[in-house]
Amino acid sequence: MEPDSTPGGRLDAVVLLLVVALALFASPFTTWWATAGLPWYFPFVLWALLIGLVALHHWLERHRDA
Amino acid sequence: MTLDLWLLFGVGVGYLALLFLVAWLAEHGYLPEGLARHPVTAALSLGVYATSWSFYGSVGFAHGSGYSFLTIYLGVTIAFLLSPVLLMPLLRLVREYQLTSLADLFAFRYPGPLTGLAVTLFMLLGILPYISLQIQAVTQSVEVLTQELAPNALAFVFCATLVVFAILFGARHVTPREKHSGLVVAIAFESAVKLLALLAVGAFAVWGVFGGLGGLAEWSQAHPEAVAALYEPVTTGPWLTLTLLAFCAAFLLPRQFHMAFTENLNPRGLRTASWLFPLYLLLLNLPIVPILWAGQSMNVATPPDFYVLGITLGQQHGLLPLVTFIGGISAASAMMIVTTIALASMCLNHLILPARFISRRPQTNLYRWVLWGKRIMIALVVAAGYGFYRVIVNNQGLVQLGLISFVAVAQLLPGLIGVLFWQRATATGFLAGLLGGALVWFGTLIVPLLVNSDILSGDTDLVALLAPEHANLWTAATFWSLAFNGLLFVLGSLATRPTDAGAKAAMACAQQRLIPLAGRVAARSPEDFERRLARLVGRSAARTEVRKALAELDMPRTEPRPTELRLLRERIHRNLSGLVGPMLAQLIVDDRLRLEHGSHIALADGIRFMEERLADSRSRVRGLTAQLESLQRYHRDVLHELPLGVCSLDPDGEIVIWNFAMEVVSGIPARDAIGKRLEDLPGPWGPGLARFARDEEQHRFRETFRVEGRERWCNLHKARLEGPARAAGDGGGLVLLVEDRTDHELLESELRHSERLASIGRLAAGVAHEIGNPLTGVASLAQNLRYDETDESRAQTARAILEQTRRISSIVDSLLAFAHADRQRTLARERLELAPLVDEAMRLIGLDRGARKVELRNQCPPDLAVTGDPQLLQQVLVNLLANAVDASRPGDPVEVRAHDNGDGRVTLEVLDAGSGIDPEIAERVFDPFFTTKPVGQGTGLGLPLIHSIVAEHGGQVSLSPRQPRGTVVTLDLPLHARRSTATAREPAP
Repeated sequence: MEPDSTPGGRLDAVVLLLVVALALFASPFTTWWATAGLPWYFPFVLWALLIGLVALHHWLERHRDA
Repeated sequence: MTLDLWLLFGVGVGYLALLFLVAWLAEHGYLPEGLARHPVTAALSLGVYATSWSFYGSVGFAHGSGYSFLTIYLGVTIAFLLSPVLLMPLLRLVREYQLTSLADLFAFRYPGPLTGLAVTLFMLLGILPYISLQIQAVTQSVEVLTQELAPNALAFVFCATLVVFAILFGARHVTPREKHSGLVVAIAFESAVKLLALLAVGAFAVWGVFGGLGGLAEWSQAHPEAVAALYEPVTTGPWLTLTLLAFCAAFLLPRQFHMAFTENLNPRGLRTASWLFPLYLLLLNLPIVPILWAGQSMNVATPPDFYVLGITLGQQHGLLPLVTFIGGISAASAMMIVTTIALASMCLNHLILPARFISRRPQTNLYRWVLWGKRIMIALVVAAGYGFYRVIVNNQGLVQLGLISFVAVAQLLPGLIGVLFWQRATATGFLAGLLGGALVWFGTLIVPLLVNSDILSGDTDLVALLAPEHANLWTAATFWSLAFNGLLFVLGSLATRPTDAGAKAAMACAQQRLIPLAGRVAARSPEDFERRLARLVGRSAARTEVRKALAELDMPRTEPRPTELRLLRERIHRNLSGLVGPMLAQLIVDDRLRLEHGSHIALADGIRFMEERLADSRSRVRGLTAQLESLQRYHRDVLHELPLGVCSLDPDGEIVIWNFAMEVVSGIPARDAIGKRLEDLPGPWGPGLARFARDEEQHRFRETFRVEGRERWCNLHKARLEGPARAAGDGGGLVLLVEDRTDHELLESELRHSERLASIGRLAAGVAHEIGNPLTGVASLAQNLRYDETDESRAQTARAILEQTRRISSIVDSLLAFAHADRQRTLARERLELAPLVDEAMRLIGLDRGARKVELRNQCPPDLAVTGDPQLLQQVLVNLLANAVDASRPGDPVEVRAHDNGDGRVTLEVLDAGSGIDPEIAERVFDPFFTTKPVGQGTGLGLPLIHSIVAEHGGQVSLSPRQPRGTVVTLDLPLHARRSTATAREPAP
């Protein structure tokens, strides 16, 4: 499927990333991972995951623009 | 182990000197050119966000509040994640309107005398705790490393040193550039240094204290309470509040705004920073937990805020503590340098210079004011931070001081929403909201500080009044300050009407309106610019600014053209913005370089302005607007690529469009033509086109332009424009079309020549006969000479011989004249009497043996004359007569008639009684290479050439059958008026 390169499509991707960020760090899921007895580095894994998604989005944007 | 105070001082100053060296090398081109603009450098320069709080305080924060310390960076991650809708629009605004600080941004969106002032004062007050935090961190780190109380003078010396370096970085000399590439590179460098230092301490904690990652894992398994202490505050602490505060601080802290927007050298860098900057923060925070646990496992004596230093002190040698100290100095000094530069600019532009501007003392040197004003403001900002540190903060933790500033900058969030999204917001609403939020902030966070420091007395706890029991201080302060702020902002905005300036700014901020300049500059020359500016900024500054702008635009000092002067005004405005800020620059330009609003905007300027802005904002244009913009681009491309020269003039005669074909034909680039008048273009095009634009005639054919010794032929057309310009009452413009006919003319000339040679070939037999007869006569007469006995008879014979040779010479001359007629390619326009012209053509055609069998009749009136080229019209008649002779039988008449139509036209007819023409092919006889003659007897070019020549004379040619038999060829030609040489030219069919 062709990626949506319209401004609206790009906006959708940003909103989607925001939803993911809020789901990871400001939702009941946050309460779960904070109380699940996970290793100390788990928040850093989630943070790295979010950064990876943003980087992926940025990479796709650059290739669409190129 | 301990370190010596003087060693630490020397290392600190040495490190700052190194930072300055990096900046100097970058600014003077000793480092790679692309380094400052590289996205990685941009992302690293944003690392100024991480101060002593991050470097030292994060461990203490993690000790007291577990993973809450991560919120300070998660909020930033979310803010940068939203950069396409949050940061990039802000960057566009800052770049488009030359804004250099937060105060500029809000003063632009909420115009009014108080906006910039209020933001500046509030930022100054709000950031003081943060500056004092850095001073406290440095002095405490020295105490940790020297194991003794730092002398009172230490903080003062640190501040004084920083004042010197901040001036070196940001106020070394007056520069019109608002961007300092050296500062960007130096801050990126210091970000890398503090990251490496903290990673080194983290590595020491893992491998030096726990013996590796396995040891760290074992320790955490053995101490589950330590892990639980990290996770527990996520659900019980002010997690969301701190995330929100960090979200705001990511771009609203003065230093963040300065590095992300004001010093932005490459917008692409901000896009890359959307993931690279959070990654930097992640790496910076990764060692925090190991360092905390290392400190706990080692029972380090230092407070948790300084575990970063404390755990390194157990080593035998002092390298790691020294590196750590450098990291801390790096974090504190970078924050203070960038913050003081940003705040000094705000104070200068919104507190100091406006006051001086009102005083209007022309003898004052503006540059000196700016330079010393900025230096003094840097010193005052640092001094205020030092005073705050001395009076208040001795008993405060690092994080608490930082968060006070975070809550302060969060008060700009409602106003920022108004900047980006809410056009109805007004300056009154903004000021009311900011004041309300600031009062709550002061009451909930600053007053308790003052009370704790024994500066104020009393037991009124505002937090207790505003928040439920056991409510978190930060949550209560943030919630209530933002609630008051937002409520007053909305109510104040709804209760007042936006001013005109506010409404325009709101539309500009929402990217719904582009604001082009209107009117012409009142100043008439660059010298006039200097005189006008000198009354306000001083003679020296005015001269420097005008000459610099002229040099940048490659414009002469005598430039008089309004469009160019508009460009000069824009450039001076831009340069002044970098010097004194956009608000004051606007005031200066509005006051001294006024636009005459009675006059209309030059169309060329308007188009240029809109296209520049649209090119910059293409990604913002959506929906129907995007389609319209795309259509406009399509039309512009069509005009530009049209293989016909297009030049349009606005009502003032200034060139608006000069397309690619015009560039090729004239050799004048569009950039040199647009905005000028035709008269100002170099010859022959400028004067020639200007003459045509002035004349009444709508079309001019075969206009000749002599370029570099060679002639170019062009057909010129023009039309009046009655578009939007006329609707605005400006009288419309003009569009000129230039059709380059040079190649066509050359080809046609060659064809004519070939056709003539073909005609001569056909006449060859007749010519031989005509010449043969007199030659025979000459030979006979020469023989008779021998028998002439008297002088009289010899003289008579000689005369007869001469007569015969004259006859031969006449025939040869006629042939030569006919053969070389088209060597002159310029169309002559002279009076031609038809009767002699037809006689000469008949004489030529009479050379043809076949022609002697038909009866040639010239019935043209003797005085009837047309305007035209004698050689070309003779060729027309020869060709027509030759065709008529070919079609006739022996004894048939071939007749040429002509009459005056009475409407300035002459009709000339060539009639034969030949075989006639089939109506089916009558339409095709003017097509090139179409012939009804047998192969080898006709070229098929005769009639097309006749058509072309007659059209060039502004005439028409047609064929029709003649009754009862034969053909009539009718020519319509312009009559030559006796009283005037003016000729009527009509468009070619």
